[in-house]
Amino acid sequence: MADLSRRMVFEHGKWDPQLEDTPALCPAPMVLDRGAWETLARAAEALYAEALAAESELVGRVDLHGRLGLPRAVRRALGRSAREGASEGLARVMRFDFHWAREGWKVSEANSDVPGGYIEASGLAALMSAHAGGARPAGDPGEALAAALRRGLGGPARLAMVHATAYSDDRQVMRHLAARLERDGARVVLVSPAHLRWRGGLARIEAEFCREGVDAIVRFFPAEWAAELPASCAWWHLYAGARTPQCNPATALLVQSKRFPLTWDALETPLPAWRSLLAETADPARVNGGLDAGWVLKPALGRVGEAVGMDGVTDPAEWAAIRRSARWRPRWWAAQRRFEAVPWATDLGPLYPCLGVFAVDGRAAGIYGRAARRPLIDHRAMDVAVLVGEGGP
Amino acid sequence: MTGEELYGVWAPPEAAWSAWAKPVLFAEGPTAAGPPAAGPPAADGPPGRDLAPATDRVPPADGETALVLDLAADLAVELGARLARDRGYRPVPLFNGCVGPGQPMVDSGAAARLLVRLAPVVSEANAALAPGAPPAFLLDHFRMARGQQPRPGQFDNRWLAFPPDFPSGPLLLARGVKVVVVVTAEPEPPAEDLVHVLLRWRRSGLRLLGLALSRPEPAPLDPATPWTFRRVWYRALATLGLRRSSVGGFGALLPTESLGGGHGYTGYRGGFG
Repeated sequence: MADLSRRMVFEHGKWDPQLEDTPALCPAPMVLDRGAWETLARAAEALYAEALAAESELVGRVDLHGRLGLPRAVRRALGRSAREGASEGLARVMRFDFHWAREGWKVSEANSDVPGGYIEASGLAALMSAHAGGARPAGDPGEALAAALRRGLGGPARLAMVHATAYSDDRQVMRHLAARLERDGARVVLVSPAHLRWRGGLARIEAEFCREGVDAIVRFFPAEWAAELPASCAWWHLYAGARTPQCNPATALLVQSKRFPLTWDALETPLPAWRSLLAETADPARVNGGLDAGWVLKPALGRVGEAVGMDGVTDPAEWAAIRRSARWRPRWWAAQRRFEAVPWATDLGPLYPCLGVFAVDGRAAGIYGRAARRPLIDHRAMDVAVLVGEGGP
Repeated sequence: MTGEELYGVWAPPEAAWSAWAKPVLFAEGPTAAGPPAAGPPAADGPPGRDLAPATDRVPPADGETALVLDLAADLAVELGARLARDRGYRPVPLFNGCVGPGQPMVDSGAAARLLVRLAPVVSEANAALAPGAPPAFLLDHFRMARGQQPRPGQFDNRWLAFPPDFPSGPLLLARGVKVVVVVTAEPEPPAEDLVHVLLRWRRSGLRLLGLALSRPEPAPLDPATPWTFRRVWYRALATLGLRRSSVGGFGALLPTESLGGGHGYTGYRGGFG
């Protein structure tokens, strides 16, 4: 285990291999048969296409933004998107979290804004595959993203890798992606969004250590955090009016919100994959019969499973606090119908897996696997290599 | 020496506490911080700084005491190396901020350079240190840059210590630790981020002591419980202490509206999505 952790640190740039008493890495891979992977890949691609179409429609549907649980400043920025046009996108990437449930594959959420898991999906899977009897990684999302950026930019370019610089766990992701881009001749600078300045919709880096224009932005800074940036960096350009393309533009937040399903019935975009795969989602204020054990409560803009309430799983005091908050401020929450996840039998005991399937520019690109001892994937979940075997239909 | 080799000195695989050693400064490469200071390696500190008294006042490494060295980073590294060589403690670097370009807010490069410079001292000490040697966790007391805000254009590499960065209280107890001594330069209350760690340990049954280098003896440590203690959104609120100007780091205030007006929750740091 120590060897695996160290190899992940020094060969693949994972800087957070330990979480309190638990190694972050699962010592064994999960192997999917090829048929299961094909099913998930096609589903992720369908979800991606629908999400992109819905996002495009939602940009112009300012009347629906109030349903999404977005901060006021973000809604103002989205209003700009509607008037001035959304900021240009490049090499779009999303990740869809699949769970095997009694009723088949279910999606608990989509990460369309700043999906993580690149290092684990590529490096951990590669390390494990050497010992997995021929099973192979499903893909390398970091490589796929770098390739998509190269295609979109048409050659070596200057890129700003925008992230929260104080968070080493975010910086490691930027370093991982940067290495792939630099290998192909790109000039990459890791910066904060506060280091960006805009003129005529074109972005420049204005930092003590770098002053230059950039051809594109790779963003790993949550879109809703941008609203807290100082006005001097004109953060709204992440949402509206930017001519420097972004991966992803901040309008991705429209689909990132856990309350996105509350707009479906008002959209013209057909969403058959979303409707069949995503667990039923409702406004907590409109759940008939109250928020009983049949519902999971999620913050509208929650990430990494934080503050998700699940009766019988979440600590009772925390569950009570979450229910209270959802009752008092339902517009910041989403209620999702609970499904019965099927555990994975392992030598570590039963684990509940979550398969985060990446889609880059519409193509399935790999899996970020996580597994937990309870049916709630949060920061305590282990990272799991998910490989694809040759078996299956 | 590569970053991996250096990490192997400060966190040998066989050592019981090495899993918690933060690899950031090692993984970015020892050269990222610039060349180490000239001169022979030493664990005696720069001229004018005598660490022998501090080393001597630390409780014996009998397995019942764990240390948290919350000192200026270079002092923490030096004292950690001395404790490995002279007192039998295993130094566990917990520096979780990157080096950063230009003149960043936190001089993580100073710690990185000393980790290189004192590696021979620790390497030699490793030969005598038992795998289960008690830990001395190394923190940078100025990890929050003394409360300053970044200049426009400055790189923000401030960082906080969080409970998941440390072993839990029950684990410490299971491994024989009964007392945690927080070593600081001056007799001051622990920083709030560290308080969250310490209170969890105290709730588990560990005794807390504080040892200021300017004082002769350890004294009981009784940190006040912050109102954010054990709030589910603690980690998010911890970042609220870093104001909006440092938007590259924690300073991007997590939107209070998404926090539900103070009653809500928000994402945890650990990579997004």
